[in-house]
Amino acid sequence: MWLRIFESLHGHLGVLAAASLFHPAVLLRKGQQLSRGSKLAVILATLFAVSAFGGGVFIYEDYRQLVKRNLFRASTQAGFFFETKEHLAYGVVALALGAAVCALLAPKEARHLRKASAAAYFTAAVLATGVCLLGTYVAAIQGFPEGK
Amino acid sequence: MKTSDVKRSAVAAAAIVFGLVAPVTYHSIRIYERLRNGPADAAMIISEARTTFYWRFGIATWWAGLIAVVAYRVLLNRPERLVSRSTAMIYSSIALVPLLSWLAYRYP
Repeated sequence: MWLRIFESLHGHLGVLAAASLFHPAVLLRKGQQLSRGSKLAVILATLFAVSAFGGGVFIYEDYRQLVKRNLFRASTQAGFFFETKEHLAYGVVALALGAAVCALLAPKEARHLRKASAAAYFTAAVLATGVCLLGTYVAAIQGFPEGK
Repeated sequence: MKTSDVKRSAVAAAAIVFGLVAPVTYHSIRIYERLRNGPADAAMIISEARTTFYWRFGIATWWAGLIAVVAYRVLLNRPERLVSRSTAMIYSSIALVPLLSWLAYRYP
């Protein structure tokens, strides 16, 4: 039961991260200085992405043992999509972390750096959306068995 | 520009460099694995140790961190390059969307 709960939490956090990562991209697109609320939005969006990734790492070992073989048996394509999802997810986290540090540290006059941060957040958001779509498809094919 | 602003700008730019380099390095490691071992195979992926993902993650993060530190030193000594490099970072970020998507799909 706990594994299915964590699997569901991981999926929901992923969708939340994908949606929230677009917000800093919009806030920073003109390079304007961040208000307190905007800084909170930047931090939260990055935290959601890191939490979703961390949740995936947390259940990864159990997923490997209990689900992966059955996933490939049910659909080879879905099995490869899981791998693709894994690779893209690392990119999302790296981009989000880099963009967050840049957005929060860039000095007042450094509009160009905040624009670069917006571009990085946009890239992270688009990749995160892809990760969510792949994750939803994979979960629909095979998830943790009942009772786990 | 004040010295503290130059340092902050250099750190901020280095952070973006980290974000851009890390996924590219990760995918380079994956491509190397695929080229060395042949095309992706379901049986091989199932029997892969869990630690391979952590190694890829760790190695990519380490190299990206190293390159970010180098970028910090370069930009600290030449702050006039920050604006032009920021433009390059913007275009590189956008280009990463199709590149990473294709690499992740082509080399699962």
